[in-house]
Amino acid sequence: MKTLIMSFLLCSITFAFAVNLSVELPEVYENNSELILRVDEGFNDIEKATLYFRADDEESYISLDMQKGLVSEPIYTVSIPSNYSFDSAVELYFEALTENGQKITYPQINPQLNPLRLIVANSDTISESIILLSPDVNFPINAEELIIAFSYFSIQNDIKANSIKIFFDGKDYSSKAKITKNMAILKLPTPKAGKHTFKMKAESVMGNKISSKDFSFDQNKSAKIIPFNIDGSLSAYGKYESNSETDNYNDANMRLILNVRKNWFRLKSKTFLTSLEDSKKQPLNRFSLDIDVPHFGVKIGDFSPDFGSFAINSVNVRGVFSELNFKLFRLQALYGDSKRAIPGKLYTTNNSETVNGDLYVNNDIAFARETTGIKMEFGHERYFNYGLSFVKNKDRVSSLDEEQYFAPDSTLLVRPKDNIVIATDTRFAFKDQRIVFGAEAAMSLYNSNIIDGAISQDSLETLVGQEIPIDPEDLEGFFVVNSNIEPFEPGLSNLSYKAYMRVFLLRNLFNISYSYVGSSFNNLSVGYLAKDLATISISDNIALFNNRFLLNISYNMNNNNLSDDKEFTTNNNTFYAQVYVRPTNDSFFNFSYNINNTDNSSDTFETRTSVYSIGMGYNVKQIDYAPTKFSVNFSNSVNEDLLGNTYDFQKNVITISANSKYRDFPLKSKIGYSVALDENKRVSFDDSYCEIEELDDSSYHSVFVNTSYLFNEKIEPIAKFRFSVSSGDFEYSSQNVNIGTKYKFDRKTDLYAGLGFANYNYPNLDENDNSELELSINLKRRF
Amino acid sequence: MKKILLSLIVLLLFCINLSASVAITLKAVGDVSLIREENVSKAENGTELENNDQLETKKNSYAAVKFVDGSSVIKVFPNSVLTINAEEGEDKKLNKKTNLKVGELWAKVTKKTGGFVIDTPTTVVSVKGTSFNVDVDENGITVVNTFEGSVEMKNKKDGKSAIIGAGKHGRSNGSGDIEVLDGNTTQEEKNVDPEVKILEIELENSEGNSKIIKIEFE
Repeated sequence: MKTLIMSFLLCSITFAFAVNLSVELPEVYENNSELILRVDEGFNDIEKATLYFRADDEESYISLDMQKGLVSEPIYTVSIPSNYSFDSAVELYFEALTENGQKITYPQINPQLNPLRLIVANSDTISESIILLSPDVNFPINAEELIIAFSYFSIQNDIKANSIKIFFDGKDYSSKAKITKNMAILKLPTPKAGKHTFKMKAESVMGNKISSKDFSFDQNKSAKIIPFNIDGSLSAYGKYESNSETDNYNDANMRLILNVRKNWFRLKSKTFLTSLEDSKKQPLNRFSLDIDVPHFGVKIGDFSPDFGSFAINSVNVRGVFSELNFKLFRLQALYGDSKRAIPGKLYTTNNSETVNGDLYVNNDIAFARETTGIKMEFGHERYFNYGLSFVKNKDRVSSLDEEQYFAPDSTLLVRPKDNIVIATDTRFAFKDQRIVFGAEAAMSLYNSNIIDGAISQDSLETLVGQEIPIDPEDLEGFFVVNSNIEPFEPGLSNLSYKAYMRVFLLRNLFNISYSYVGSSFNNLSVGYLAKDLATISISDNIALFNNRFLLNISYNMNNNNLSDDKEFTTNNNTFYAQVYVRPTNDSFFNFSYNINNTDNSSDTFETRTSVYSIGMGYNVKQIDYAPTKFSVNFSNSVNEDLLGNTYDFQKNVITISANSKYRDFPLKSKIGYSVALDENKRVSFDDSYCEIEELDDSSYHSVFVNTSYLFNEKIEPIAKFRFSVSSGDFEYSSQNVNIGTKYKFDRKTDLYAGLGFANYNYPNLDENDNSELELSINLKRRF
Repeated sequence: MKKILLSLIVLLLFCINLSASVAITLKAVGDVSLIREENVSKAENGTELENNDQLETKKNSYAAVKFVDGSSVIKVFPNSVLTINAEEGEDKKLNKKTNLKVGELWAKVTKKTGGFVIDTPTTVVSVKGTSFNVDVDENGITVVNTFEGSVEMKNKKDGKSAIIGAGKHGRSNGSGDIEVLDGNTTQEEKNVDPEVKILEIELENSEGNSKIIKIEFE
């Protein structure tokens, strides 16, 4: 029995780490900082990765698709476009979507409430010599045009004219501005009603960054006249990947975004077409058309509705969504398919399951799933609102032919389901949304198999042992009632609820939440929801001394077995703390500690993962021709089975890097070295005995060099090289070379062409040696 | 030779300085002309103004000007002619000296931000930080209304001067005593810059040609 449990646990661990993510982030955020999501395991299982980011004082996140790396360098990368500007910090998290539809986030737990936080490099000096000329308080803003004008006449000879930038609402509009010897003038269409911010930044001839104060104004609603406008972008991407040992991989996709505005009318359309679209898998292509007029909006095509954590979110629906939107009342309704019918194929191979001697594989067979939802919301979005949602998901049995889901021996290979969720949510906000309280609750009804339709009234009465005044067959259009309802008798187990509080005051962001998801709570329209789990999550982010001292602390506690229907209760606790200190603009120090404990009530299982990391860096400006940021980081991670002592993995990693930006010519380079030393032991099982196996100490060394050179602000060749070698139980070496060129045709058109080559050698397993070649091209045109 | 070179450099720098912008039109509503070196163009919102640029506002038109040091704004009312001038002083402050040939203006000046002088055909109006109004008629008769602080009026012919305090107005025809009387002849908050809304009506004929009618209203 113990062997079985151990095997199960080891399998669970293997499953849990099927996709393993880590991130490589800069110490502080600067424009065009590259954000890297490293896929330590399961790179090929990931369909796409997305970055979600926001300014620390914003509520909603903005998403950016990440660029997929090579199999030889399993990373996703993205840079936040420089037209987004952040005053103090940027909050972000990553989401990886696997091919089987699972969403894995980093951080793993409550990433929206507990995102990663990067402090914005704040080397700008506020200059009083940058004077705001327009807008002027004495004159209302013109009905047609907004004029932003800065004067720097008293320092006109001290700043570089080509370094002057004007930001409006966080976006860089410098290309539209007129820069003269002593003035910078930007003319824009009158913006929409509400508060708007703007500032000017520049670089002095001495190389110091200066900026104006942050300015803002409130645009009056009555002055809103928006001219006819069209904008959007078209991008095309293609990749060819060839491996000496595996099948080639090709991907080509195209994305078109088109926005049209005319006074109160808004139209947005998005089209994404990919060569990976396969009618026998869930759709990857995306089409959407959004039309908005005052107080009403409609979306046609693909959309991702959000009615709350327990009602509907993180799921793509293809259909129609409409919304009535008033100051104190909103009504949203949707109808569409959240899955499409995928016929299965019957195989009789030796690798498939055995059913009565016959072998079947259902090959991802799925029914089309209809999703219907409606949400009413009362109250002002910025102060208090209350919402009531109804969501129904039902698999369309007729979407597949009968032979597709029944094996010849009548074994059911896939079960159509019916699901209803009623949810409610409320939210209070104070002090310009700096203090927010909220709560959500939901109840589900779930039928795991509706193949046979509704049960008869007589059968139901027999089943429950009492008279039922309603005939289930009359209700079949609303919900299919039969013996497959889970649970048959509703109770606490099919409830979910959560409460949360967010406070952002005095540079201190505090979050606390409690969520409960019952063991029988089922919602087919929530992308990822762990059942039978209660979670307490607390986090606090403190920024002091003008962001020179940062402290992040978070604690998460999870318990399952909420209905006491499992043999054991599993508890999981995670504590994370990070201190970041930046005593000067050119130096930093950080320390982080993360510990995760998992155990169960039977005292048969207790594991612990702990990681601590310490790092420091310094920007050596004294190197005249190439100011260089040096950084060194050490981390220690321990992954151990405390009770069974079945494994004990330890790893020490040291990473050193030097990031140079050359002064006299536009060359950037980054050189890094990383060494990991492993000390592992694990239990090996046999039929009759088990023994602790001391594994050979292993080591991993990796050197990388990244360079880029910008010619005439237009052409930027990029070269990356990485050499890695590993010794110990698993010996291998690899060489990765990536070269490419970015070409900026004009302000609105970019092209990237890249070539990657990777070579893998396994000294003890020559037959596994392989090499890989990758060609990629990406063209983007904004209009 | 060295002196000549130095003189040339100084002259060059002076010329460069002359061509630098000294002010900007925050607003140019209606028929407002910009006269620069005898070239006449329509002044627009956000137009940079250089030394000796002249703004001429016609009927039902007005302009608003702000100097590059951000210290002072001027509203130029209809049927006025204003010439802009400003130079950087030794104290690095911008000394503003504008000429109001005819018409009316309102100005708001921040204290200790360089000199601010309005030159009219008959009078010189000097300000150290205040809000005031200057009206010049066709005969050069200048009326100054002071709303805050104080303004000095000085006749060009005989050099007589008078201080016009807050809530008073002064009148001069260029010679003799300057009349200083209690009360203002005009209000500071004149509704010269109402919020203008625009109604656009687009017309399209059967051939697809379109024209837009713009109606500006307050």
